[in-house]
Amino acid sequence: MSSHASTSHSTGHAAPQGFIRKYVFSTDHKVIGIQYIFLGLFSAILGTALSMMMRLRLAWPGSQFPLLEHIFPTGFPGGVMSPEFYLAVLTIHGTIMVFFLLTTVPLSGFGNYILPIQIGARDMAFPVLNMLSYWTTVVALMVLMASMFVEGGAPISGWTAYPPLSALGKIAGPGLGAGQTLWIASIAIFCLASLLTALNFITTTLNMRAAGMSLMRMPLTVWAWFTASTVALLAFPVLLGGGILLLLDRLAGTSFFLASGMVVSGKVMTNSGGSPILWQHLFWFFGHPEVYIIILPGMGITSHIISTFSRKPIFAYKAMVAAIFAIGFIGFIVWGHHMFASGMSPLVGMVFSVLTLTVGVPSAIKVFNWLATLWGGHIRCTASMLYALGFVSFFVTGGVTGLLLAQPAIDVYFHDTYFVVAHFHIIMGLAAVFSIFAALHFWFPKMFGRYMSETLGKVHFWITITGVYSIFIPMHFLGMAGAPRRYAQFTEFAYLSKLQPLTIHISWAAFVVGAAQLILLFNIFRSMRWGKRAPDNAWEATTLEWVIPSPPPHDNFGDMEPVVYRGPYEFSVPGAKADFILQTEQEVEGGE
Amino acid sequence: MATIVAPPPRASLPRDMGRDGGSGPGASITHRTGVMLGLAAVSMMFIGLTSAYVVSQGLGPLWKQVHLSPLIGINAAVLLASGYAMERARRGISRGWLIGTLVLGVAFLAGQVGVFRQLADEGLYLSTGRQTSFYYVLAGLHGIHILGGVTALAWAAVGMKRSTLELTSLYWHFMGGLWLYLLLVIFL
Repeated sequence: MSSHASTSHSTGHAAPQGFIRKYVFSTDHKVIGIQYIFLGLFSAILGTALSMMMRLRLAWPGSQFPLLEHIFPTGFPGGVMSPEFYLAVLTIHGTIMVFFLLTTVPLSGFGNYILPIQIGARDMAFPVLNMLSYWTTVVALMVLMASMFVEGGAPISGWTAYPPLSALGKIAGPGLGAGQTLWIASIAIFCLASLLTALNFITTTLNMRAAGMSLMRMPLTVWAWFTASTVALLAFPVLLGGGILLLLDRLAGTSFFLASGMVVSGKVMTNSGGSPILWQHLFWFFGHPEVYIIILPGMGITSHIISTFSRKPIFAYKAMVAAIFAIGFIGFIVWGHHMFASGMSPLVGMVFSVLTLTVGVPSAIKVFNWLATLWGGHIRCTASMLYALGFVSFFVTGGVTGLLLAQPAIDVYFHDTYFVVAHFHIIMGLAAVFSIFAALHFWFPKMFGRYMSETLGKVHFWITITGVYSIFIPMHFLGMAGAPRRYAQFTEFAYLSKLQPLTIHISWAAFVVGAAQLILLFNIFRSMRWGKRAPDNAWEATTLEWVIPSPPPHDNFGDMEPVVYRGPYEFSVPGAKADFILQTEQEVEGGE
Repeated sequence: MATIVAPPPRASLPRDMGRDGGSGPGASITHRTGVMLGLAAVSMMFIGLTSAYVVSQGLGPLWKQVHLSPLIGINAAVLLASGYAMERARRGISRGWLIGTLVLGVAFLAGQVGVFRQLADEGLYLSTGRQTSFYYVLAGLHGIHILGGVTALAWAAVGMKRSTLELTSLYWHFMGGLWLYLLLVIFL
């Protein structure tokens, strides 16, 4: 019976021939996963380069950079970056990092590659849709890039694109003409791609699991990808709807987000009756869940890796699943905490504040369970494990400031200062990026059959973690001193001029961290070709991806029909031969 | 190790098995899940937009009314009738009823464009007032989804497969219900 099932599967899944079907317009989830990861790598390089330019401007406001003037003649008149260009760089940095790196790689990238294998499926539920989602994402990225090359350049309204600035068109400033229109179009296209990917992930998880893979035997990575996808499916359509309204305000003269009686650049506007706050509600109803779309996969990856390298079952598996769900759910009812300063009623503010503080409960459960998993484990200090611990570190340091910002009375002071910038870079940016590093080191042997260099990985880890803390801990102090975000320079303000050495320190730390990423790039490309060969089960782990060859064949399991007999984290089981038992291993009876 | 044939404990057998019927198997659970999740996403977009509509109502005095015209009522009746035809087509695997659904769907779309024309004649354009703007946006986006449904109906009429019919009817009924919901939000 099992042979019948396997042949019917194999015939339905002949490997494609030819370069284009195999590597470009591939429907294989593994190829698509790697495509997403490379798209994210490209975005990361671009986004990091932009942040370096911003640090240059902030630390040395008056200095001239003739080389950069050569590259961006309009952005650097006389070699000094114009404030408008600073805002354009800031907008593209934020958009690229949030959407095309942090949303794309942990969920669409690693999720695509690993999720079907971990549940014992041969591909995603809808492989063609999967391919279309990827190429739609590419189109979204290209449209965003195009916004930098139109008249007026890239938009200057930040990744949140608040109206009225973003809704008025060219009259409101440089980059707010065609650039802003393309930005909105890009995000709308991205929404479509993301929700189709999410649909695919959910359907795959619900319907494509192998025999024996009950829900409570799924690895926590799968739970995290599943929950993040559910959140994405419900959040992205709201942004899409809001984006359509914003686009109509710009192109069709409607007034969804534009109030009456505005005077812009000396001209009286004819719009009437709309409200810019409406956009904030629609945007943050998406925007806050978006943070969890980014961080949930990181939590799953961290749980998975910490359990594997502690050689212990994850502590309180069911509580971890419940916490993932709780975080995903609460994420939908806290969006108002981004808007405490918008003039909302104190009562509403109070409600959002209490709900937001509630997120601390499942988050703390997760942190305690990670620590409890580590406790008494036979810890293997691999590079991947270090990155996962880095994730836990950032999750705590970034989460604690979240509790401060969740309180309206404190937030009114911190709002739009560098305190917020430091907070979200640690909790959303760094935590998610470290989960990407961890996942990359962990699954690289599965993807390419070779290990990444552990030495280079550890060097990269230590430089990066000390470097980013040198960037972002001082940044909290800048924020507490009242340094506003999105300003190209602070030297004009007497109360901030004494803090300029701190700004210069942050910039130097940023350059060190930026340079250290070359180690990672070198490690990736070197290891693909010359890395140490890895066995099929590269880390003596337990889940289904380690049962099959590295790299896996086109239909993942070949002639084998995966059947699951046990939970995902059976490490150091008393009486077992090895300190790990694969999920496919049958019950050993009477010393077989 | 490779010869695992015994049934696993607490087995969850692959549920993705089609049922055989007159016109091929019914829609697989996978495809059903896919369509339903897609409809969940569509719902979220319209929930977002209608909540924006409700909030906008409370914003100011410039709230111009789009009135419930007879044509809007006729269109709703046409859409409901198309739902009935769809159900007949699905249960009887009937191409006639399916084409009937398609014709009613196109008639609904034409009627919706007619409503737009009437509004324009009254001087109510997309940018005239916020309620008008919302009406055009909601009816327009719903119309685009109906257009997608009409395409699916045509596709289903070509193949006449039970699975396609089942999935299309799921989508079509949802779009009917969605329009009734939008009417309630706008005119109640």
